[in-house]
Parts: sequence; C-alpha cells; structure tokens
Amino acid sequence: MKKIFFFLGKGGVGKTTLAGSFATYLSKNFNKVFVASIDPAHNLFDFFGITARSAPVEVSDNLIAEEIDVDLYLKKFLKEASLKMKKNYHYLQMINLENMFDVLKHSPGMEEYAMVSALEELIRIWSSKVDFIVIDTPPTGLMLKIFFLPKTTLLWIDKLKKLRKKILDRRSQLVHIKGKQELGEDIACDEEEDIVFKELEIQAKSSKKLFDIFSNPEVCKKILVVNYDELSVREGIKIINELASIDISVDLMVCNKKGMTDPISPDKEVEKILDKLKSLKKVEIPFYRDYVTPRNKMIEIAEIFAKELL
Amino acid sequence: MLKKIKESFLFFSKGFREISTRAIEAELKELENVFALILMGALTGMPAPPSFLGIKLLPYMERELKIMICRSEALGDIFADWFDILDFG
Amino acid sequence: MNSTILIVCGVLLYIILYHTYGRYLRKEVVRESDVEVPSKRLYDGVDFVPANKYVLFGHHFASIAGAAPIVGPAIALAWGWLPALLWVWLGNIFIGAVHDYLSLMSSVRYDGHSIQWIAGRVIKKRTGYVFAWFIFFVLILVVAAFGAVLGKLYVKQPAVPSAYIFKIFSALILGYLLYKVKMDFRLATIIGIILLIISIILGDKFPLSASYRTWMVVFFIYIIVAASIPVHVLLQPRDYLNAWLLVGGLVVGGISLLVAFSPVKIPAITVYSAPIIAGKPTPFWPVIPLIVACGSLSGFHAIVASGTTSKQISSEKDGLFIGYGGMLTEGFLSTIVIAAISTYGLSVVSPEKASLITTNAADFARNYIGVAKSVGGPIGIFSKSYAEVANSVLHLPKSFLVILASMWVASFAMTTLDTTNRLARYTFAEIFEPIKEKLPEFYNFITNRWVASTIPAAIGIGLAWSGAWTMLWPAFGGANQMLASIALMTGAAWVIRVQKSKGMNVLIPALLLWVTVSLAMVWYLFIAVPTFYAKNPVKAIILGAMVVIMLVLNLLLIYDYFKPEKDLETKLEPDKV
Repeated sequence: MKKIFFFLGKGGVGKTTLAGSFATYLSKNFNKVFVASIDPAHNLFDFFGITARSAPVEVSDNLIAEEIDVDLYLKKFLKEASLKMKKNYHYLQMINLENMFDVLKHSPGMEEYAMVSALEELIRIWSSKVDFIVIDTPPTGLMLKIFFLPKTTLLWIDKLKKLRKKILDRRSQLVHIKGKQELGEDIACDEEEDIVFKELEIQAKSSKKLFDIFSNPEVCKKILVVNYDELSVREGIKIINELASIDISVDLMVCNKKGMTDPISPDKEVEKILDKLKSLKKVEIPFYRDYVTPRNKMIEIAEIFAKELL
Repeated sequence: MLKKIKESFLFFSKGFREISTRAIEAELKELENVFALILMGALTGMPAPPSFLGIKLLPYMERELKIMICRSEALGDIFADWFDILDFG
Repeated sequence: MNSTILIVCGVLLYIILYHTYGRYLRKEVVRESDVEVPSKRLYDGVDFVPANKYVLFGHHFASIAGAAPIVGPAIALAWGWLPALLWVWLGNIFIGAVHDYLSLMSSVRYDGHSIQWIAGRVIKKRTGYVFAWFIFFVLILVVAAFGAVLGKLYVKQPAVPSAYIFKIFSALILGYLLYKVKMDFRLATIIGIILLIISIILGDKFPLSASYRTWMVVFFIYIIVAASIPVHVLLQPRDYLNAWLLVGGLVVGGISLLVAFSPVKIPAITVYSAPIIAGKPTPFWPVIPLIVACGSLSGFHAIVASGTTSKQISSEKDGLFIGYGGMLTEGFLSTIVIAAISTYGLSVVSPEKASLITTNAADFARNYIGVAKSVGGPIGIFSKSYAEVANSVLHLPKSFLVILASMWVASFAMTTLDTTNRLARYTFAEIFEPIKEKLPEFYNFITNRWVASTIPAAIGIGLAWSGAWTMLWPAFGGANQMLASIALMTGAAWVIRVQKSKGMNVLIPALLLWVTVSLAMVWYLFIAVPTFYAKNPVKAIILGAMVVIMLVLNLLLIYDYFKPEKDLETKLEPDKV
C-alpha cells in the first residue's frame, strides 16, 4: 500500500461522494484501489449503485468497495473471548457469561474498539493487495474516538504493564521463598510466562502500529470535508484541533457544495473563519445540482482536489 | 525421635518463611485486586463497563478475578486482617 | 524464692490449667465440635486457606507479641513481684487467655468475621462503632506511651538507638538480598542474623546521644516516613528480623532463668498503693490492668485473633492451642521479665540508687520507679537485668546482651509506632463515617492519607513530649483494656445468647473486668490527670478528654449489653452449634 486516505467531517457534508469519487479517479490509472465505509450508516454502495451486501464488491477494474460490518467484528471479538473463557476457566462460579456479553455489545468503548479492530484488519488484508486505500468515516464524534483509541490505549497499557510488573515481581518473591506450590503451578511469575503481560504487549504493539500509520503524513492522508455553513466549519476546526492534540495533522480541507446556500452573508462568515486557517491547504468544490453518479462526473470532481494529495 | 526433630525443624522453617512473606503476600493480593478492578470492575458493581482489554484478558485472569471478588465481598469487614499483617505488636 | 522456681511454677501453672480449665472451656463454653471451619467450608485459596497449627501458632504469636508484655510488668514490680506475677498468671489464665480464645472461636463460628463485626451483631449495631473509637484511642495512646518509654531508654542507653539504626540498614539489606536478588532463603536468613549481631556491636561502638526532645522529633519523622515506604522495602524484612529477635530473646531468657537459680532480691509485696502513676499512690486494684495489659489481657489480641487467624485455622480443635495457648505463651514472656528484674534488678542500678530501695518494702514502693528511670526506665531495667542473667549462665559479654535485650524491645516498640500510623489512616475513615454525608469536605480532608497520618502521630508524640511515661502508659493500658472489655463482653454475649452454653464463666470475668477498668479509669481521671495538669495543662486536658470519652462509651457499652438489639443475629447457619 502506498497511501491510505481518510475522509473526515460532519455528517452530510459529502464525505461519501468525495471518497467514492476519489477512489474512482485513482483506479482509472491502473492503480488498484480499495474503498471502504466504516460508517454504520453506510452510503457507499448507494453511491456506486450496488445492492447492499457484506462482502467486498468489484465496482470496476481495479476498484473494490466494501461496507464494513463493524458489528461483525464486535461479535467475532466477543465470541473468541467467550471460547477462550470456556477453555481456560476451570470452575469459577461466574454468573451467566453470554448474557453479560450481550450487554457489553452496546457499552461505550466497545463501538470504537470494534471499528479500530475493523480498520486494523482491513489494512492488514488489503495493504498488500492494493495501491491505495480510501476510507469513508463515520461522523465526527465516533471518528475522533477511533483516532484517539490507539493513543489512549498505549498510555493505558503502559500503566497496566507497570502494575503487572509489580504483581509479577511480588509473585516471584513469594515463590522464591515459599515455593511454586504456594500460588499454583499455572500462575505466572515472570514476564516470559505471563500470558496477560504478553497480551498487553501484543495489544500495545498493534496500537502503536496503527497509531504510527495514522500519524505518518507520508502514508496516511486526512481530508477534512466541510460545507459553507458555520456549523460544519466550526466542527471541522474542532476536528483539526483534537487531532493536533495527539500530533495528527489534517492534510487537506475540502470546502464542498459551494454556492448551495445563499451566497451573501452566511458564506462571508464562513470565509472569515476559513481565512484564519492559513496554513491548511484548501480546495473549493462547487455545488452539483444533480447526483454525482456517472463515472465521468466523479472523476471530474476528484480532479479538483486530487493533485493536492498525490 | 530424630524424625520428630526433623519434623519440627520443617515446621520452623515453614513458619519463618511464612513470616518473611506475609506482608508481601498481602500487598500482592491487593495489587492483583486493583488490576482486576481496573479491567473488570463491572463484575463487582463498578459503574464502568468492562473494557475491551478486560474482555480480551479475561480468560487468563482467573486468580485475579477470584481475589477481586473475594475482596469485594470482604470489604465490609477487612480491617482486622491488617492488624495482623502490619504487625501491630 | 529464686528465678528457677518462678519459671517452673509459671510453666507448670500454665500447662496444668491449659489442660484443665482449657478443656472445660472448650467443652462447656465453646462447645467445640466437628463443624467445618471457615478455612475449609469457605475455602477460596485467597483468604480462607487452612494452615498447619504450629505455623499458625507462630504466626499468631508473632502478631500478638510486642513490647507491652515487657514494659508493663517492669513497671508493676513497684508493687512487689508477687502481685505482678499473680496478675500475669491468674489474670492471663482466667481472663486474658479466655478473651483471646473466645474471640478466636466466635470469629470462627461467624465465618471468620472480625470481633468488631460480631460485636455489632450480638450486642448492638453501634457497638461496632464504639469499637472503632477505642481502637482510635489505642492507636494514639500507644504512640504516646511507647514514644515516651523509648525516649527515656534512648537517652540513658545511647547504644540502643544507634544499634536500631544499624538494624534498619540490616533490614534494608536483607530485604534487598531476599526479595530483589532472591538469595537462598537460609543463606539470607543467616546473613540477616549476622547483620543483626553486627548492628549491636556497632551500636555499642558508636552510641548516639541525644536529648529526649530530639528523640521525640526523630520519632515523629520516623513514623511518617516509615509508614510511607513500600511494604517490601522495610516493613517485611524488618518484621522477619523481629521474629528472630523474639525467638532468640525468649529462648535465651527462658533457659538462662531456668538454670540460673538466682535468688529473688526484691520484696514480694511492697504496699498496696505504690506511687506509680504521676507519683500518686496507685491502688493495685483496680489499676493493675492499666499497667500490665499485654502479658495478661490485651484488647487488640481479639482483633488479631479474629483477623487472619480465624480464617486460617484448620479445625476447631486447634483453637485452644492457638488462642488460649498463644496468650499463655505471652504470659510466659511476662514471667521471664518479672523473674529477670526480681533477681537482678538491684545489681544493675548504682549502689546509691539501690540503697533507696533495699531498705524496706515501703521505700521500695516509693523509689522503684525513680530508680528504674536512672537506668532507662522500664525497658532499661529489664534489659540490664536480662543481660545479667544471660551473662551469668551463658557468659556472653554484658554490654552486648544489654543492647540485644533493649533492641529486642525497642524493635517491637518502633514497629508499633509506624504500624499504628498505617492503621490510623483506616480508623479515621471509620470513626468519621457518620459525618461523611453531612460534611463531605471535612470528611475528605480528614481522611486524606497525609492528614490521617500526621494527626495521630502529632497527638501521640505531642503527648510523649512531656516525658511522663508513668501517665501515658496507663492511659494506653486503659484504652487497651477497654477494648478487651468490649471483646470479652462480645464473647460473653456470643456464649450466652448464641451458644446458649455456660456463659457465667465468661460473663463474670467480663463484668469484673468492666468494673475494674472503669474504676481504674475514673481513679486515673480524678487523681492522676489533675496532678499531670499542674505541669502540662494542655496535654492533661487532651488526655482527660480522651478518658472522659472512653468512660462515656464504656457506659454506653454496658447499657447496650444489657439492652441488646431485639432480633439478634443468632441464626448464622451453618456454623451454629
């Protein structure tokens, strides 16, 4: 994989349109492209005029599209954990585990984990098969969480590792003096034997890998899409600032659907705000009255901003 | 007779080993308790839902979970145990 | 009368009554049965784990043994060796050991719950809360009492603090070897013991002289710092070394006195009201429990017995051995103390001082405390006497033995100083619990770790600042005995109301104790405190306030005992016999 592109922005600004168009544009020069939507409210297949399904679809030569079923990732994750549970626990009296897991599915923190998981997996599968990956993202709140999760996970795992080391330390002291049977044969006393510690390291590694991809401006480009209304611009700025706080920079701002609203005062306000973001590359795309479904229209739109990214 | 002496020596040894580790043992259990609480506190009534990492590690945390559950049950009457471990006398 | 007879009598008495009275207790009072103990029934591999009875005995005994069984009897000798000894023997057998045994067994029958928890169930809910207040006072007063006694010792025997500092380093090194380097246990132990011996020698070579006030400041800082260091760095290895000191001290002392046949040189009985506390004539009864607490009867033993011990006992049968037997063993320790000082106490003080107490019994009573002060207070006179005995039998150098004995007691006392600090943090939260909702900021402030550490240390050392250990020691004793009172009453309530067995054996001692301690504290409040007030008004007020609160709570206790909760938790299956 040469590059991965994320299209970010408030709901309804045109992310799917631009992402799909851009993917089409890239694929026309014999570049193999994989475009995916991780937005639970998928529009990607609608955009391409394909019937919804859960498998990747070859839209045209060199262009494969998929609407990722994030829920599936969650289910898979929970099922795996549940199977491991049955294997490893002997007799612990736990209350009905499956029921507990159903509730977990909806708990905060699981949704973005599932998405990050899905993202990790698709990068893993497709980076060797295609030249470019284009991602249509869910609305701001969730998307920010996805970017943040690897970073916060790393910090958190770091602390957990330290605590775990203390535990292993004390265990080894105990075992040294009282013997292995004191704790039990299968209780780990050093980092080599401890599955928990190893898992923490594995998770840290994959989080780090993902975060390195996100924060590397050569490999990962983030395109912020806004419209000419104050709300979407302000939200755009919020996205820029939030990402900056974890050293992730937005590479391009696309001001979409210019001229859709009254060209007088609202646009002027917006222009003022946009003006302040001098250092950020900006591109304007006019409002298209008709749907952008014909292939040539997609390429036309993409051409407006593609150069800034390649 | 010799056997009795040997036996009592073993007891002595066991006793001293016990004394030389009881505070560490108590500290270890509390560390494990905290570790489990952070990851799986929801099982003992903490308001936070279990984290994804907690679920991932759940299969390997039998001992820690046992300790966490025992501690959460004993919370109402835990003071007396510490008089002993901290060696008041 | 000589030391050997004393020791032999003591041991025989304990053994005989262990088998007779002890048997009676287990059959008629506790109604020992085959019911499964919590360590098996509630086995969880975490807290409820059955332990071998000898190991558990050692564990339990190491927890209850401290400096108090040594200091108390040393002071009580002002009444003569006989009254003190009788209290150590009979008080222990019929009250103290019963108290320990019942606390243990009731806890065993209540799923390993603490005596405080049980009190809240068999007497009244608020009794558990009263318990917390007494514990709180004990924690403060023990710092005051031990601080003062140690301070006096350190001034008169400057080799001891120095040896203790070296001992701390030894503990740190041992901890490093044993827990970080993971040296072989036996090897590390031997190194630890050698380091201990070196500490004594170095202490002797480089004594640390400082004023009493200086030591008070040092103690304050020590308490705060030591209670903040991670457990495995200092506390654990230090406790381990203390265990060896205890074993060594007991064995050496016991054997020496046994074979010494040294004649007792001090009067058997002096006067009924020897001037002990604040120099005022102190009536033997009711005040003796305030002077000799541990060694005869001690409240916090109930907490220890109902802590981890009850959760680890392997069968009800072991209860007598560990609970009753453990306390008798501590009585043995106190017996050694009395025997040592009775035989050699006179030889270790200067001739002029000795002349003050050898004339007649009345003079002895009057001047004993003062004479003891000249060699470092109760610890000082004990350690020197002990050294004489051990030297006469084992021919080890006296200066070494004195420091050894002093350091033995000092180690336990110093440990208690910082342990109480750790415990106080928790107790603060307990006693201020009722105001948690009404005054949340105050509650958060007072239960902050540093505040909860500093306040008891400050009050304790503040009281010790006065140097009046004859005032502070009985205050600590009193609080301790009040704690024992509640525990014994709880035991009685359990036997009578839950067990429905021969409770009079417990209730009568419990009531006698209650009356004795209450009268003693009233005496203390009205006679000793005002005398103290003359020199230290503020401290006297603080002490007086504590005593008043304790007396009030004590009245509440007896009231609640006779008018208990309507629906008692007498049905706590399946352990009910």
